[in-house]
Amino acid sequence: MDMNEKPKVEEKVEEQKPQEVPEVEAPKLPDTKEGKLVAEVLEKAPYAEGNVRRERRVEFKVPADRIKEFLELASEKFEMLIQISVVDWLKEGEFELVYQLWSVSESVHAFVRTRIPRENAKMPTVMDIWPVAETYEREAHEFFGIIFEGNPRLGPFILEPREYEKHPFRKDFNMIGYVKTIYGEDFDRYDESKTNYVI
Amino acid sequence: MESVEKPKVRVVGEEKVKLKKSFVKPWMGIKYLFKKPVTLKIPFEQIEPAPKYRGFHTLNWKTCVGCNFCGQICPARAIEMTWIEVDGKMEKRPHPKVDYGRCTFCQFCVDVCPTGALDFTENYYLTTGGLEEDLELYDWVPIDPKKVKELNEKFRDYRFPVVKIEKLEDGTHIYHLRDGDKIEFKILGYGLRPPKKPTPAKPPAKPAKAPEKKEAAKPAEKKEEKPAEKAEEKAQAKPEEKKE
Ligand code: SF4
Ligand code: SF4
Repeated sequence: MDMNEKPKVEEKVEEQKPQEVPEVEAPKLPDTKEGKLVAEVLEKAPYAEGNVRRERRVEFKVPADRIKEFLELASEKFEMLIQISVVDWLKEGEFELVYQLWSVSESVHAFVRTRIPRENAKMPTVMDIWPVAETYEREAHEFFGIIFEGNPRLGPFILEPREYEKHPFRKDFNMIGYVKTIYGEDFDRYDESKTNYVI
Repeated sequence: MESVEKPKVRVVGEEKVKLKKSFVKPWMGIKYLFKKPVTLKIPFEQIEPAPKYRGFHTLNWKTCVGCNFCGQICPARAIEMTWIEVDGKMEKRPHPKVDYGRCTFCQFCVDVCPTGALDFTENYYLTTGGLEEDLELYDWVPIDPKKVKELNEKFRDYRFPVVKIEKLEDGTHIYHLRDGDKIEFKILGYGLRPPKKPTPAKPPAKPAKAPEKKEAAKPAEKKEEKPAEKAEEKAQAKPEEKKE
């Protein structure tokens, strides 16, 4: 089996309905500390969308070209970068980057979402705001192939050399196919083959 | 910043948690020299696993309807449906075969089983040598819970109830149980679709198992879909293969 072929599992690209509600420019932020916090950030960054998910959980949507600017601004309130997680929306041809920020002083967790096209995905690095971003960006680079411009250490990180540059977390990476190219068509010890996934 | 009220936090003063260094205190550990050590002398003492300790599976072959729910939920994909022939008569539905090389003992399969046919016991000991025939032990169709219980009451050491799985040329498997009993059956094939040449022994079995039939109806439908899907996937996969 060839590892480049399409994965067998049909991807379910689901529209994120709940987040799209505050499309109109007046999301009616609640009168809580989260609401005030979001209002404060949005005041300085009118290009972003923000809403409060629930207690201590807020969310921003930012266009990709202004993400650096926005994060710089947000880092006044959100001192910590917890993680950069990436979602691969195959049908829409986009990567969604979620910068997860934590505000130590307010105890609020923020998602900053942004979308970039899948081909030639490029992002500015945020290492100069949070030095820890170096590690998260290396991971996102290794598993999804996103290039973070300005990060000097984008190179082999976790994966073995033969896996490097294959970007295994992308949705079009065929896991079973790749495993079969390495371990042979059937890697079970017993008579039956358990390589066919039936879910 | 003023607009946002600060959460109220309580900070324990550093003077309360910081310890003073000492030369004497480490010697206080010596007091345990004269106490009874907390240990279990394993070959001479027994440890009783908790009731409902997640161990090996048991399967009631009479009530398993072959729905493959267990195979679908298994996170390790350790379950493969197996078509079995007992005493020259093929079972109407496939039964799960559990591979302990993969199984994580999460017992999701037990929770999902709609008829309660799949269950587990507290048995957890299984050690073998590295020979191929020894390793066959790790892949079995779980046996009847009554038998396992009986063995447990006899031996009380929570070992795997089978000591040897003998595999013959024609697919006959013989499970040699610990008390010398044997379970003999034939494995005809794997997967959800019945194997090619089912033995024509179905009619006599029907009237006896009338109530079970209804339950079996649904899984049967599912079964029709699944292989078809699989076949489709395969068909998709093949042409691309040839391109390369
Ligand atoms: S879920 Fe239960 S009834 Fe269904 S195949 Fe598995 S053991 Fe049999
Ligand atoms: S216990 Fe868990 S891992 Fe083991 S066969 Fe059942 S579902 Fe699979």
